[in-house]
Amino acid sequence: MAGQSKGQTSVQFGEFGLQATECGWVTSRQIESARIAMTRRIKRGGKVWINIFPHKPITKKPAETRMGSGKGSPDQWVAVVKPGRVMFELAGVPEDLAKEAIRLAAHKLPVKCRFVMREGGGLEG
Amino acid sequence: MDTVKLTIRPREETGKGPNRRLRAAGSIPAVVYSKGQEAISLSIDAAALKGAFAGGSNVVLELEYEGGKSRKKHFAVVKDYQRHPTRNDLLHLDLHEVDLKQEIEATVRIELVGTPVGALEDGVLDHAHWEVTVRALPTEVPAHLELDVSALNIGDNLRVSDLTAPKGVTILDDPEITVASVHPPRAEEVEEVEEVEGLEGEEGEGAEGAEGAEAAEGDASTE
Repeated sequence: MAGQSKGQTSVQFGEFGLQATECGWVTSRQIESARIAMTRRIKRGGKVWINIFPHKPITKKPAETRMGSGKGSPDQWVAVVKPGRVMFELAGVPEDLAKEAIRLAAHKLPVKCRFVMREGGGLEG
Repeated sequence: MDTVKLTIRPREETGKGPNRRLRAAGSIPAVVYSKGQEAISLSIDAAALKGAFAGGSNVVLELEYEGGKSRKKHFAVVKDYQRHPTRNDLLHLDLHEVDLKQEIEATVRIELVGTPVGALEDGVLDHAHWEVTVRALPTEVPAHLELDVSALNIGDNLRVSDLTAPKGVTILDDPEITVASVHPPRAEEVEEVEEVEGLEGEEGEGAEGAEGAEAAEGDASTE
């Protein structure tokens, strides 16, 4: 998987984000797991956005079957993530709580990630 | 907008290779264009550029061509910029030459001021609209617009019409667009109740199962 993410490379909706720094496939289960980790940490406050969707079906042959007889059936769905992609966004919580929630979410994902904040509105920094 | 002087160098070479060499040497490739004129490719010293935008990117740049050939003063504003997706380095800058006596359209950031009353009662402040488009003379475009949210209770909201524009500045966005609102706190998730039950019975195994079932749906909708 080559290249960098072409879009959604900055925080667009919320104040804080979780950005992928390497490429990979993120499964629907991992996305949901990360979302749950994040929303449980922020409890009743805040708002979460998920900017990736598992569009890509991944097939797998059943265990202990001989090769041949055609392609396996869809086993899971994944989102293709490239470096730079802001996968999750968060708003309405203090920065320290957002960092902690995003750290917990990052542990559920198969790609290296980092915490990012919304740009100050331009070129400074 | 403040006016900041910036030295620029016209560049002959364009394309991926020359621009990469330029960045490695500490310059940023840029382009300046204006109405009825050919676009000119430039390079700008990265350190000078950082200094020029120290107070925000809503500044009018007074362009000084290196060597000082041009007799006429050139003023420009930042129209667009590109950053590296992960390193966040500035890759390219688009400058739009402006006439200081003609109004321009510019994007101005909205800054919320104060803590809403509703937030003290567990409400969640939602900053929905982050910037507005304004029309003003280049030197009169504000760096940002402030909006006081301290009087907001749960269920209240503020719209673009509640913004106070300085004299000579017209806000072009729809006045009905919601800028900020305070929502009631989100209800606790159902899974958490199931987890407590699971912990009592089988030391969390039940909770793992419940999460797995949820995850299998692959729901990536907005929360």
